[in-house]
Amino acid sequence: MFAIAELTLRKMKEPAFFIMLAIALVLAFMTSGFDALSDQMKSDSIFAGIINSGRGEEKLLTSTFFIFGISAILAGFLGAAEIPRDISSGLILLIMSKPVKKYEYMLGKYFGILGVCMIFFTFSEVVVVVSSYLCRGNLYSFPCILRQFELAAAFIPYTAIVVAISCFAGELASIILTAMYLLISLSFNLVPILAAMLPAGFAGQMEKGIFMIYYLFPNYIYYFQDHRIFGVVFIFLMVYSFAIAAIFLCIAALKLEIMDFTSADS
Amino acid sequence: MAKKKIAGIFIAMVSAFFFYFVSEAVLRQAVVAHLNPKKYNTETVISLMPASLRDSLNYKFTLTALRNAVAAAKTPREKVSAMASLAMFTKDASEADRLYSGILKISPSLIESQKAYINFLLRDRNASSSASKSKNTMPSISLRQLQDYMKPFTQEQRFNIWADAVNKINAMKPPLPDSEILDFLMPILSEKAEFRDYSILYAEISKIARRNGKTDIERKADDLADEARFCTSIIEHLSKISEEEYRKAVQAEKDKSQTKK
Repeated sequence: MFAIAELTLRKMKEPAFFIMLAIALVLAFMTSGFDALSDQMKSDSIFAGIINSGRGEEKLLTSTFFIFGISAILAGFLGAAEIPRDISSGLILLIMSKPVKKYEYMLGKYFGILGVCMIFFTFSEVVVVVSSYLCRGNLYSFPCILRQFELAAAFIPYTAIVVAISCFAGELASIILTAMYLLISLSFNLVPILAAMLPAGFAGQMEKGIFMIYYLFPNYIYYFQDHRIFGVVFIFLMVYSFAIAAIFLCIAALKLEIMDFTSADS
Repeated sequence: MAKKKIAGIFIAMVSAFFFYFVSEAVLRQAVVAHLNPKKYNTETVISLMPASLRDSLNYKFTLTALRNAVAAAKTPREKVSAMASLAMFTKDASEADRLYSGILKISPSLIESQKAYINFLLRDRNASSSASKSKNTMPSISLRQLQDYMKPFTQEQRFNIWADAVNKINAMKPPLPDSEILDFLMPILSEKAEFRDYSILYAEISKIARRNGKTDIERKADDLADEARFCTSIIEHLSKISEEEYRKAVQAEKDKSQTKK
């Protein structure tokens, strides 16, 4: 499993990764002087209310938000292409000829992609912290830096989703499907919050239907909510992340288990 | 072996779903509980909608909130009050009739039931009623019944009932005979008005009496109307009461803080 993960991590040596990293680092440098994300929003917007509810002392930085976005794009491109490429090139048959189980292969890919994302995110955050200190003399506190890294927990389910989708489609189709899934997820993110604002039972049966669809997507807003570092919210955020990751990895494992890698249509 | 593996994956997936639903519920509560309800409420949701939808959504939101209030009401007074609010708000005439009819069944003697009495006032003779279809199943309140209902209330409480009843009677087609209206309004003449607002009702009696040549009633109504004009209005009276209540509450708060010191 770790050998497979290591194989994926070697992708970092590819020029495409360096180009993406360079873009991210420049962006991190450029946005390092921006205020907290909550200060960039219209104060009466719902999202502003969520990310600045007054619970946590440390705020998410705008630069972290940008870095998170770029890392998510990288994970989408890298993760969606990994497994389909292995299948189409026949590399998977070579790997399967070794004493590697299908689920180990899938977990290896998952941890590899997650590792790339985390390294990418960490490098960019380091640039933000260092450039903020060097250019403006503003050294972020340790809790503040930790709060930024809490956002990286969103990569745990996201990478699993990317891996699961890539088990069902080809390279390009996986990228498109991942992007579509992400967009639909984002459009459903406010559903529970809006539902809480409406009078109970307003939508009746329709509300149940909407919630059934809502449960099919992860809610990324939870990662942005204002909370105390390593508090109860963080614990449940981790449970939430691992639960979603487990669900999607199980789906991926099931698909790989029944997949015939030798057939042309696989 | 493969079957066992697939079963294992399914078990893992079910456990993951359990943790997913539990953690999602906690996180959702964490987000919702910390949103300021004064800042983020139904109005916020309405403002996010297209302008063309706002009015109908606003109506539906309020209707749902009023229905929830009816369901949540515990005492008969709360129930009647919530049902009356819903009946007044809804655009569905048959729903309003059902609610008013329910009010009369639950507690016909409460002051909060007044709108139900007015709604069914002379329903059996008013053919143009909006709920004429359900006329047979709905009650009809006679003028005598309305007078009996009003008797236990104070003059201040009775005013709105008189005013609503007069408005309803005046809007009736075919119009009610003047003699019946006068008979109905006579109890107003039998007592001295405590509030300026009653001068309108005396003027109404005077007008009907003049039309029918009943000069003694007209004169008495005019005299009482003149006297009523020097009285305080109901709004002034109510604001005085609320001012006094506020002053008492402030004093109680002061006393409380002094005893603490």
